[in-house]
Amino acid sequence: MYILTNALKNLARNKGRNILVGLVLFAIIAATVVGFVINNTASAVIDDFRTRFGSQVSITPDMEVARARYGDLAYLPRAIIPPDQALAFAESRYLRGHIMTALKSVGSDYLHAVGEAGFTPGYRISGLGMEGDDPVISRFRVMGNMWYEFETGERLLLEGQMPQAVGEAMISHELAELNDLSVGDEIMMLHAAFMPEMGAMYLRNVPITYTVSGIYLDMTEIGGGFPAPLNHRRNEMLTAIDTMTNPIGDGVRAFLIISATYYLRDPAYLPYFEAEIREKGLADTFRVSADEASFRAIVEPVEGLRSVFITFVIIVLALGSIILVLLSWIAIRERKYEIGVLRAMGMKKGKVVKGLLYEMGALTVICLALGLVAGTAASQPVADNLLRQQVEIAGRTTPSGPQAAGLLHGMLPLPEDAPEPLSEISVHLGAPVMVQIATVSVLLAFVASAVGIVNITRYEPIKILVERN
Amino acid sequence: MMSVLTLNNVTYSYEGTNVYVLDSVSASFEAGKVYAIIGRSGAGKSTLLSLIAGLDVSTKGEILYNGTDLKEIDRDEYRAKGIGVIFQSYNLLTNATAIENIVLSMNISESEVTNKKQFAYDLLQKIGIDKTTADRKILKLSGGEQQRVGIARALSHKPDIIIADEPTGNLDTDTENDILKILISLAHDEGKCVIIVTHSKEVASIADEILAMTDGNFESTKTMD
Ligand SMILES: Nc1ncnc2c1ncn2[C@@H]1O[C@H](COP(=O)(O)OP(=O)(O)OP(=O)(O)O)[C@@H](O)[C@H]1O
Ligand SMILES: [Mg+2]
Repeated sequence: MYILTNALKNLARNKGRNILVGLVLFAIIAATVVGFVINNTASAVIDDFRTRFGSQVSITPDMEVARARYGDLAYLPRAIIPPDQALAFAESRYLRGHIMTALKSVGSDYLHAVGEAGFTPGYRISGLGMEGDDPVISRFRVMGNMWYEFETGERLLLEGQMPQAVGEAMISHELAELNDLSVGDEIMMLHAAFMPEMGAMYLRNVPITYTVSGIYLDMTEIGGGFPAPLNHRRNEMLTAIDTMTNPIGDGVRAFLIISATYYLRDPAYLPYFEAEIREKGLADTFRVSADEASFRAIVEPVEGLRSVFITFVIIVLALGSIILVLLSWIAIRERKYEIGVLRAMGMKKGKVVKGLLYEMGALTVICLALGLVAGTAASQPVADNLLRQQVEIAGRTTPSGPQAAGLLHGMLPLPEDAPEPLSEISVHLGAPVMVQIATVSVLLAFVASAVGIVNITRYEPIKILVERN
Repeated sequence: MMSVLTLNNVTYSYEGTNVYVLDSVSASFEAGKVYAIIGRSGAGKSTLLSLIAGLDVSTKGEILYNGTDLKEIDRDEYRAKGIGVIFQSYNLLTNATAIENIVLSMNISESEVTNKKQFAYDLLQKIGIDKTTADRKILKLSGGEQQRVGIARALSHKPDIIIADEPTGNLDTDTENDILKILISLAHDEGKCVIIVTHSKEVASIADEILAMTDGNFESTKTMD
C-alpha cells in the first residue's frame, strides 16, 4: 500500500520529468485517438457513399443484340422492360429500395381535354380500340407517383387531398373547370388494355372509374405554340402507382410504361440481383450493371486520406515509443541514486520495480484520460473537416442516388429508402476501441519502464550509491 | 557476551579494481557496546561499514550476524530490520520531505508503530528537527539537518545494530553531544550494538572500544575505561 502512496507522491516529486514523459504519452494517445476517429469517420463516409451512390443498378438494352435477334421492326418494344417484370424485380431482397413511376395514355368519350379547343376538330382522335367501335374521344395521361413537382413548387394542391387509396386521382384546376368537376366526383376513363386471350398486341378499350381526390394548380408556363392535348401538362391525372398496376379485372392489365430505378443494399450484391432478375424473366438482351464509377470517384479520396492518417498515427506511435524509451532510460539513470537509497533502506527489488511501475501506470492513466478527452475533442473538427471536403467532392461528382434520380426525373424520393446525405458525424469511441488504446498505451509505458528497470535491478545497492557519491 | 556481529578475514575490492580496500579484516562486536572506528581518510572505514550494512558482500571472508553469514541471509530484510545505517553522505530521498523519508523507511521495515507520522515527528524533534523543518524537502535542508534526518531514519525502526559514518561531522558541539548521548544510551540502556566511524577525538573518547584502521585492516584494539 505504501508503495502505491509513495509512487503517487513521486509523480509530484518528479514533476519536471513526469510532465515530459506525460506529454509524450499524451501526444501518442491523442494522436492514436484522432487516428481511430479519422478511420471511423472515413468508414462512415464510405458506407454513406456506398448506400447513396454506389448502388444504382442500370438495366440497359443492348440494341445491337436486340436488333440482330428480332429484326429492325420488332426490336424496339423489346427494349422496354415489361411492367410485370419491373414490378417483380422491385421485390428483390437485395434491394435497399427503388423508385418507380408509371405512365399511360387514357381516353374519354365525355370529358374534354385542356387545349383541345385550339386544335382543329379533326384532332379529336379516334379511340385506341381495335374493335371497330370508333367513339370520338379526348386523350389524357395518367401519371403514377409523379409527386416531385409538389416539392419543387411547380405544382400545388388547390383543393382536396393527394390520392391516398387505390382508385383516387388528382386533376388540374383547368381540367376541373373545363368539365365542371369537383373533389369527390367520379370520372370514367378508357384504357387501352392487352387482351391476353386474343394475342399479345391486341388492345381494347376498358373503362376505369377514378375518384377525384384533389385538384392541383400547375404553375408552369405553357410553352410557345400549342402542345398537343396529350402532352399538355394540365391534362395529367396524378395517381399512386398502385392504382395503375392494379389489374383491371379478369387478368387484364392496362397497357402502361413503368420506369424503375433500383438501388442495391450493397454494390457487391449485383451478381445475385442479376441472377434473380434473369430468373424472373429479364431478357438476355439487357445488360445489368451497377454504378461503381461515381462510387469510386468519391470513395478513393476518402480512402487516401484515411491511409495518410493511419501512416501519421503509425509514425507518431513509432517515434513516440522511441522517445518514451529514451526518456525513461534517462529517467531511470537519473533515479539510480533514489533507487539505491530505497534499496539501502531494505526495500526489495520487486517492490522498487513495483513502485516504478505504479508511478508509470498512474502517469499513463492520467495521460490516457487527458489524451482520450483531448483526442476526441480534436477529432470532431478534424472529422467535420474531412466530411466537408468529401461532401464537396461528392457535390462535384455526378450523383446517381435516389435523390439525384428524383431530381433528374422529377420524382419524389422514396421516404424510407432515401437516407439524408451524411452531413454530420458524431465522433465517439466505443468501449472496445478505448480498451485497445488503453492496452496499447499501458504496454508502451510498461515497455518503456522495463528498459530502465531491467537496467537498474542488476546492481547491488552499494554500486548504485557509489556511482552517485 | 555473545557477539552480534563477527568479521572473519573480510576482504574486499571494488569491482573493476584489483586493489584490496579491505584486507582480511577480523573483529567482533557485542550488543550493549559503543565502538569507534578511526583511521586516515581512504583507510577503508566507509567500505567496511557498507559491508556490515549488507549493501554488498565481501570478496573473501565472512560477516556473521548473530552467527549467520550475511551472504546466506536475506540482506534486504537485514537492512530493513536488523541494522540502522547513518551514512556519511546521508543518502536520503532528496525530493521527499524529512518526514516522508522516515515514514517510508518505517514502512519498508514493517514497523509496528501505529501512528508512524507522529512517531517520526517525535523522533525528529528529539534529534533537533522541528515540525516545519520536518515538512521540508531534503534538498532544502542544511547538511547538519540532513545528517540529523539520517540519524532519525537509522533509529526509526529500532534495529539491533546501529552503524554511523561520521554522524557528527556536520553538527555543532551542542548537538554533537546530544547525538552522542542518544547513541550511548541506545547501547548502554537498550542493549544495541553501536559502531561509529569518526575522526573526532571527542567521539572516540566516549566509545567502549576503539578500532584503528590503516590500509584496510585494524592495527590494534584499545579498550577505554
Ligand atoms: N567505488 C569505488 N571504486 C573503487 N575504489 C573505491 C570506491 N570507493 C572507494 N574506493 C577506494 O577505497 C578506499 C577506501 O575508501 P573509503 O571510502 O572506504 O575510505 P574511508 O576510510 O571511509 O575514508 P574517509 O575517511 O575519507 O571517509 C579508498 O582508497 C577509495 O579511493
Ligand atoms: Mg568514509
